[in-house]
Amino acid sequence: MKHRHILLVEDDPDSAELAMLVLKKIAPDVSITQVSDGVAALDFLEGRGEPAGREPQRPTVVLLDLKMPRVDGFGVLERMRAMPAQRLTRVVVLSASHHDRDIQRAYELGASGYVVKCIEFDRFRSSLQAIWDFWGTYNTPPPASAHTSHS
Amino acid sequence: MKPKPPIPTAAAALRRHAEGRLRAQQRNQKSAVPGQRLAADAKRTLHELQVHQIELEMQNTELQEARDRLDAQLEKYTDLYDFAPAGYFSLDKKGVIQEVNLTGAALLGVERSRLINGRFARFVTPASQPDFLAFLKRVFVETGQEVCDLAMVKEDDAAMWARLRGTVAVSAGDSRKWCRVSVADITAFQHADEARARLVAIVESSDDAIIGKDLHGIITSWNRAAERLFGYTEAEAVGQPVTMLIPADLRMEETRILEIIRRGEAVSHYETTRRRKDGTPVEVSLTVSPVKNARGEIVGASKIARDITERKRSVAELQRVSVLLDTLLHTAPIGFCFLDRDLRFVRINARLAQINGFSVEAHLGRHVSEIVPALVDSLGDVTGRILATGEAVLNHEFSGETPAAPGWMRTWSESWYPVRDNAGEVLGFGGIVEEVTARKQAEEQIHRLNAELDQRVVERTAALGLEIAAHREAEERVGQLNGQFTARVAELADTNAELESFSYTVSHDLRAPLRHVLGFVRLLAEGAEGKLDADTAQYLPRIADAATRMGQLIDALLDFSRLGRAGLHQTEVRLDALIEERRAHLQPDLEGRAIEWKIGPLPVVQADPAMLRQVLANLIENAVKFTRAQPAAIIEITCESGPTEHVVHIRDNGAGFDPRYADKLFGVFQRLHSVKDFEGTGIGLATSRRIIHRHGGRIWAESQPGQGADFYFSLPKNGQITAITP
Repeated sequence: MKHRHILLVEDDPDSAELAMLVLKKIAPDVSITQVSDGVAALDFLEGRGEPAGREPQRPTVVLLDLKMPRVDGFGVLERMRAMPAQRLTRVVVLSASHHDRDIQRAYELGASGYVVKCIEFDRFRSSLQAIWDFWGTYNTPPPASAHTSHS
Repeated sequence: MKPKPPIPTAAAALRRHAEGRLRAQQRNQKSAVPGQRLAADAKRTLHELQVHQIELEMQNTELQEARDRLDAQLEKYTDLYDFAPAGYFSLDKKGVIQEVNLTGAALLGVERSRLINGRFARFVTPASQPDFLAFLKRVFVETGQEVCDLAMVKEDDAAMWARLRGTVAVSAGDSRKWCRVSVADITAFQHADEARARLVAIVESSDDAIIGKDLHGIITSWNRAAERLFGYTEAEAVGQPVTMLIPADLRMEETRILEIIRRGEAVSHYETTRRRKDGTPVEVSLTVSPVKNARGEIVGASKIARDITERKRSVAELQRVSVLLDTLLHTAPIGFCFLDRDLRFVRINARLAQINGFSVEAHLGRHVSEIVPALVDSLGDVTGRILATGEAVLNHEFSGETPAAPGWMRTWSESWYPVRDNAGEVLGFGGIVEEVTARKQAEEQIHRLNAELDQRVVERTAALGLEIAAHREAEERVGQLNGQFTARVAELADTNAELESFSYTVSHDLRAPLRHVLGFVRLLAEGAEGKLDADTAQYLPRIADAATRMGQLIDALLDFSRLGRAGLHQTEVRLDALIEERRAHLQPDLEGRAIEWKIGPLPVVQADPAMLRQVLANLIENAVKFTRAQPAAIIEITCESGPTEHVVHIRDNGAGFDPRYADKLFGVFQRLHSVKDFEGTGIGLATSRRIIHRHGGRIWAESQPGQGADFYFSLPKNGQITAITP
């Protein structure tokens, strides 16, 4: 497994920091990028914006918050699924909301999974562990060519 | 009459007689004769003269005698002619009467003198005229005797059948031709012939078999009806013994019948059985009479046999019909009677007799006034109308009392009609009587009720007018309320949307800081492990507990608020399975607990499974929680199913509660025990109540402190869902 990469999309700095702390412990040798809103996430995935001239990215898994300024999590999902390169990228929604409506919409827009951010830190930590174990370790990702095979 | 030789042919005999007589004279006068020769000649001449004289004398005598004889004969023939039993007529060619004897004149009833030179045809009827003319013609043209029968009319206009026998005669002088006719009155024979012919015709055309037989029982005559009745033709029957018609076992009858006949007596209408040619029996009525000859001797019998098979059948049929009619009449469920013209009962059936209150027999011959005096007048009117018009009077209503039910006014519907004989004469009146008292009373009742009803309708219509006005007002009010309601619903929808937005914000925004606090406290505890003194170190888990608890409260509150909005998805839910699942879920918390579960038979209910699970989880967790202090905890879960609902009962022997606060139990954040004693958010029962209400059920609790608690909830059987409960 080469070039394993996690993209964390989270606007709240406390949440982002706690998640980064946990993820770094869980997956110490994996590159983790954190962006603070949807626009930044899409720029990162498409290689736009600052710093200029970046390559488009295909993360091993995207951890996506829903409630964000500018473009929210649903917007990010929707646009990703419209991009040939990101059509099959695994996106796990990490949200404080356990509203049926939000869960259903996320899956309809192509989310690979939905995890409610638990208020207890230990359970939050173990849920992230489980996400990474599954999507980053056990789960076989789609072949790289598949990302671009359709326009 | 002595035969005498005719005179001319007896000349020789006459001479012999004369000579004989002369010789006798000469013997007496011998002495008086002189001389022989001369005397002989003279004597001879004298003798001749004497003989001749005697001959002449004798001839004269004989002539006289002949004339006498002729006169006598003429008289005799005239008598014969005139008094012959037949009329004799001499007619010329034109039919004019030339001669007629007295009988002939008497036959026509006319004096002979008036007939002579009259026309015979005058007495011939016009119908017989051609026959008469033809007869005359034949007589004159032909030589033989001609016969013809003529219908004639006598002078006195009496009719007569006459038989004419005619021959032609030629008169000696002028050789004219005559017709000599004998006329015989054959009227009597003609009548006898006609009578015989009629008798034969009667016998032949008779419907009854008429058989003649002799005294030995041999058939001598046989008519057509006999042929029809017995099947033998005349040729087959005549000459045969009559016993061939008698069945073997009845042969003795014939012997007896013949005995009676021989005594000169008759057998009348003797009913017996006879046998046909084909052997089948036939019922007959016999009348046998002796037949006598001209001398009055009995020579045989005439037997008249009448086929009575049909009559017997008819009589039987008539009796049957009569019995049927009687039965029909007597068992009819409607009254029937026949009154004569004087209004006396001739016939009456059982029903009418019963109506009148007398036996059938008691009616017969009695006048109407004796039986139902109250009805006499109106019945008299009706029968009077029938006699006047000849028409029936139908469905006429009679009212009155009867001896059968004194003091009780009864009503009948009666139809009366004239009963006539064959000549059309009214013999009496037929009546059909139906008691309609009950119907009449019912009609009057209905009439009364109708009147009352009409009155009530009038009253009610007035009242309705007022009600309608009131109703209109109410409708207007309802319309207003509906408007208000619609507005309120819209407001509620807005409120709901706001609430949703609020709870989303709460869930996201309130929980995030708590999560962060908990996260960092945890990291702090891990990082500071061994660097803090014991007192300080124990603050960190207390911060974490407080934050955790706050998170739980927020979650519970969100769950509760979400309940009002979530859709209710009812299916069939097995209560026992759901309870088993909750118990399994609790198992880790039951370590070291001694709990006796008493779970009764539980039904399948209509409910939203996720919501019902939450209720049961809550109630069971409560029971487990509040029996924690009990060394021998007992939790009973039973269900009682009524006609409309299931009532689930969860009983524990735990801490219980003060019944004064039973109502508060189901309020949000209501706690009857301190968190220190029994942890919990204080929102579980409120949630349960909300769920049960949404299912259309009820939830309640009963308890005494330290006596355990009884929680009940009901679920409607038909799965009714009530509106949103705030």
